[in-house]
Amino acid sequence: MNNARFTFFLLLLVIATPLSSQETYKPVNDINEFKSRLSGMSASTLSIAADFVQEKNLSVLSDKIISKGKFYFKKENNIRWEYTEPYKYLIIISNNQLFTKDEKGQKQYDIQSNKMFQEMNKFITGCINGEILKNTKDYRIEYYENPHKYYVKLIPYSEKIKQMLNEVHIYFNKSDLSVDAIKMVEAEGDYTKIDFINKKMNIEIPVEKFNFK
Amino acid sequence: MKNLILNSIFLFIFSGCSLSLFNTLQKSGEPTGQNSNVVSWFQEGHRHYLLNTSITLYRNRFSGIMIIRPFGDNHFRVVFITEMGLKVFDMEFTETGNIIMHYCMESLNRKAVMKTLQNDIGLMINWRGNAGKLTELKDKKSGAIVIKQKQKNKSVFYFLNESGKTERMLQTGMITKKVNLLFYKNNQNTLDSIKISHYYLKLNIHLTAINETKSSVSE
Repeated sequence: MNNARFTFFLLLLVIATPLSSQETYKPVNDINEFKSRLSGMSASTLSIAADFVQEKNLSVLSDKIISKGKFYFKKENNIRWEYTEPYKYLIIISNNQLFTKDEKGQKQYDIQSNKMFQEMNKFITGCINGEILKNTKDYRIEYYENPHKYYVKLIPYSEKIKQMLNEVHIYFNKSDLSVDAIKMVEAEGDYTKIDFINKKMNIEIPVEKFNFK
Repeated sequence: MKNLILNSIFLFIFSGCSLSLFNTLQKSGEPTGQNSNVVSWFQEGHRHYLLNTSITLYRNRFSGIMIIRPFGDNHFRVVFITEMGLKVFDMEFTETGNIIMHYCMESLNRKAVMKTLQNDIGLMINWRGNAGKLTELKDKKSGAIVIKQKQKNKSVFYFLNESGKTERMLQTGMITKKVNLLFYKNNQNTLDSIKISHYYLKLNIHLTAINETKSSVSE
């Protein structure tokens, strides 16, 4: 009986270990190889369409706040980020203009004339196309991987930015190096995680999606 | 003689002070029954409230999501985030009458701005802070009951609806109206939206309750 029990627990350990290791990350062996593949992917990606699920985790709340929407990217630097539930909110970045629309009204900003918007634009597009990984001037970057994903951790050098964003985590799918998720971690552990699902790469996206109407 | 007249004028202006703003209201004593305690729209027992928020200050408008977490009868945590999840401010209204700023985005962190927002949010959630006792007033014309609460050098008038919930809140100074809050309910008698406006400041806040479906809230 004791032998059977021992064998059972041994089996459990053998089965359980590979399952848990899917979530365990280790440092990337060949960072340059990853970066080179990512550059190639970025160069060949003309468009991305995806659904997203955003999870806001605040330590003060017992529940996460979930919002959902649609995301579109089209070269060069056209982004449509549309929240559909539980609130309606739209951001379009195109031709150096930032457009926002909510249930109360809309507003357009010239990115070129506003440093903050320039940084925001650089950050968002950089996260999507991986270009942010070249920004070693503003971030300390760490690379990790597991059998299915690359996980890159960006830690801002600027104390001012750290007050808003302590760390940014980007998860790349190993099969096609598309972004699976972005996690923005604030001081004291609160975070926003955006998961991209139902991704479609290099499909035709009508130019109207990036018009400010 | 001149001083006596001057003093009489001042006494006349400032006595009954804020009541003079409402010609038809008269005192009817201490509030009783359901009027003895003005109930907040944001009650303990609810996990949290989400409100789509639009703040217009002069010609600048910014939007986000206001999250209100009641911890007790008079203890609240209020967090304002952008739609993309970035925290703008995080403040706590405690039972002991203090407001703790846990976080405020640098671009918004101006004393005057935060003091005004704390005042407006405190009113909206019906945080009693260091407020004094309640007085019941009656409208001589309509018979409607209005509850008045003294707060330091200000007063707050609560205009209640038939269910005893606040439908209008007015904060006054000694002789002037300062902030007006209108509460709108939906068919289920729960909060639908709030409009906050200032009489002497171009600041308007509009909040709309967000109905989270089961799929939107993760347990």
